[in-house]
Amino acid sequence: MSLPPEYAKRRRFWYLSVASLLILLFFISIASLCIGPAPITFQQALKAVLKQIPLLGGFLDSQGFFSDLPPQSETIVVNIRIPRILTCAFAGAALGLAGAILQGIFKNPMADPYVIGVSSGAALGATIAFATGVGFTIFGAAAVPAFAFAVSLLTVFLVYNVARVGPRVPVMTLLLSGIAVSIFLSAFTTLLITFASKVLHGIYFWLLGSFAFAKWSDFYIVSPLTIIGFIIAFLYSRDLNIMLMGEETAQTLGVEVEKVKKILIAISSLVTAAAVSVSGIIGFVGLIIPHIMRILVGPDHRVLLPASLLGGGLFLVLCDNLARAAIPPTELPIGVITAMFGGPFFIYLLRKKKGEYSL
Amino acid sequence: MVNSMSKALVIALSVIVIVLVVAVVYEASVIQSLQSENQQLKSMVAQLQEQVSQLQEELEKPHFPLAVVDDMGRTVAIAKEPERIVSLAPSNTEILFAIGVGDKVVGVTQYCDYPLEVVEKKESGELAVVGGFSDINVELVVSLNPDLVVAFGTLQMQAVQALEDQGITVIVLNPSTLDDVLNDILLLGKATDAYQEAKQLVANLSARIDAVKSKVADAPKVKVYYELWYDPLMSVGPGTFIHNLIVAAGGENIFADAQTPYPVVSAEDVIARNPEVIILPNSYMMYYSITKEQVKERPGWDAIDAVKNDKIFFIDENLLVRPGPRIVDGLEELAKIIHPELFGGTS
Repeated sequence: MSLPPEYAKRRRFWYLSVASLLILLFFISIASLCIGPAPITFQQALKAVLKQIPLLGGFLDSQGFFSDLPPQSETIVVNIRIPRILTCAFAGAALGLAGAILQGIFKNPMADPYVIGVSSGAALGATIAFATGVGFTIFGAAAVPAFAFAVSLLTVFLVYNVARVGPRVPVMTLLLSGIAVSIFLSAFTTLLITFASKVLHGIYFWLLGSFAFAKWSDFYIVSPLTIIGFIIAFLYSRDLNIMLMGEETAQTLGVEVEKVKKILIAISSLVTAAAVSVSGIIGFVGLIIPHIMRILVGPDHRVLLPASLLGGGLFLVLCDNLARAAIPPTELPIGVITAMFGGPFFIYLLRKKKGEYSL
Repeated sequence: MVNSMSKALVIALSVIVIVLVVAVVYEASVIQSLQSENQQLKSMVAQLQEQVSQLQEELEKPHFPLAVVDDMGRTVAIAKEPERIVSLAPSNTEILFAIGVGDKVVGVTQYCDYPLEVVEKKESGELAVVGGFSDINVELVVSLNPDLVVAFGTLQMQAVQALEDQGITVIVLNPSTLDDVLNDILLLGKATDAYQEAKQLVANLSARIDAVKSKVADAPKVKVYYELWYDPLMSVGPGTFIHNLIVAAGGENIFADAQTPYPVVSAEDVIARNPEVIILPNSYMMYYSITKEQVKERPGWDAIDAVKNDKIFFIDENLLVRPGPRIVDGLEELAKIIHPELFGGTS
């Protein structure tokens, strides 16, 4: 079956957009290796990476190719910057993807990954870990993300069941139940913080979000969930397109609306919870990236989902570079940067489109 | 006859004299030899004593590699005498400089400002700054290639783990009492091969602490309100250093019954508890231009004894909140403020 020429042209544009985003993400990530408070040149960064490649690295090493690479620079590139950049790329990708999915389901431009309670749940989980002291034991590094992940999923489960009317989950009820449960849990978080004023600092910095301590284990949590989540969501991207015309219309066109909704909500919650549990609550990415991508590549979810995924990763890697290198040794809160740079850029795009823009 | 009699007497006398002389001479020589023997023994004992004390010193002296248990209960192995030390807290920096290993410190935090040498070295670039307090920059610490990092408290555990993942030796200090501070000084002394200096410093500090404590032991307790922050009003509860120091200086913290370490309190409660002394941090004057007069003019505070008797004092809070050697300065300052009659201080 051959496609009409205008379809073929659009397809080509889609492939081109996604491919260029992918290439851009790759090169920006490589370039990010030499950005940070410790002075490391691009050459040193590349050498450190080359040295890790199994056979080639050993061969070059025996040729004395790495003799001018200081061991600390190698440690910093390999054990600190690479896991940080990778975790950051995947967390951004997860937030971008979840934002695009949820804006589609809710047919609401204000929807973001946190709208169904993931962030308030994660905040409560992390605060419990800090306040009970679990977060300060030697298991602390693992306990805080684990608590955040678990409580955020429990929260979504609660929100979902509050909103459920028999077998159906009306999106309006879901939105409202998300807001109500979030506010309720935030109160608990604040109460806990009041009683645990000694650990206030730790909680505060966690809530701001940061990749400063990103490790390989964080990458192993967030990357498989994001990849699997994307693949499943992509399979439903056509259904998501049809659902934008209204759930009843979609139902008559043969889309199992409730099932698709359930699966997509589960996926977006899982990937968001994974991202939040390793990085803290980073706002704005999940809200703004899908809109930017809609302006750049159009509203069709078959291209919007991969574009938001890659765009989210790209954006967050760029923001994190600024966070760690702008005013060393202080790390800027990454949420500040996402909002400061993402906001004006989004407004610029919005003004350029002058009202032609819709979901 | 007489002649022979006197002759015999002379002979007998001579014999007696000779015998006596011989006996005296002999005795003198015996006494002398005994004395010299005694001397010898004494010097031997002294030598032995010296050897024992040398051995003791040798035993106490750290031999690398060694293992120490830090304040988080973790056993930390130190392979060799540290040559490049990074301190992650002002109090740690102050301890390291006080025990004479300041020249081995290569990295500190942006808040480390004592002794003056630290400030100068930071300005000249000799000392790297590796972050604030809870935002330690792991990358910068690693780039300094340290062989010992001295971290502080529970808030830095994430950074500690990240550093240990890179194979860096980290000791975590987490003192909560004066005794803990003294132990931490000894701990760092052991870990940095400055144990003798650390022991001397601790002996000196303990003597000063005991002097304050014995002076205030029989003095009546004075009710103290320490204000940590003014909006909202915050004070200190039990378990905090400031509370412990107030008690050790012969005071009674009016919020000793607080449930949290740094309670938010209400103005009327302060009035009701009627402190005899009010202590405010120096930063009030330095950064927020809050004067004693402003505190006196707070509504209703004129009913407080401390306000009536003009017993409002400012103190350098760094002396109270940094658990390093200068905490004893803080204790002495507090004692002067709380019991001027005993310490002849400012009243």
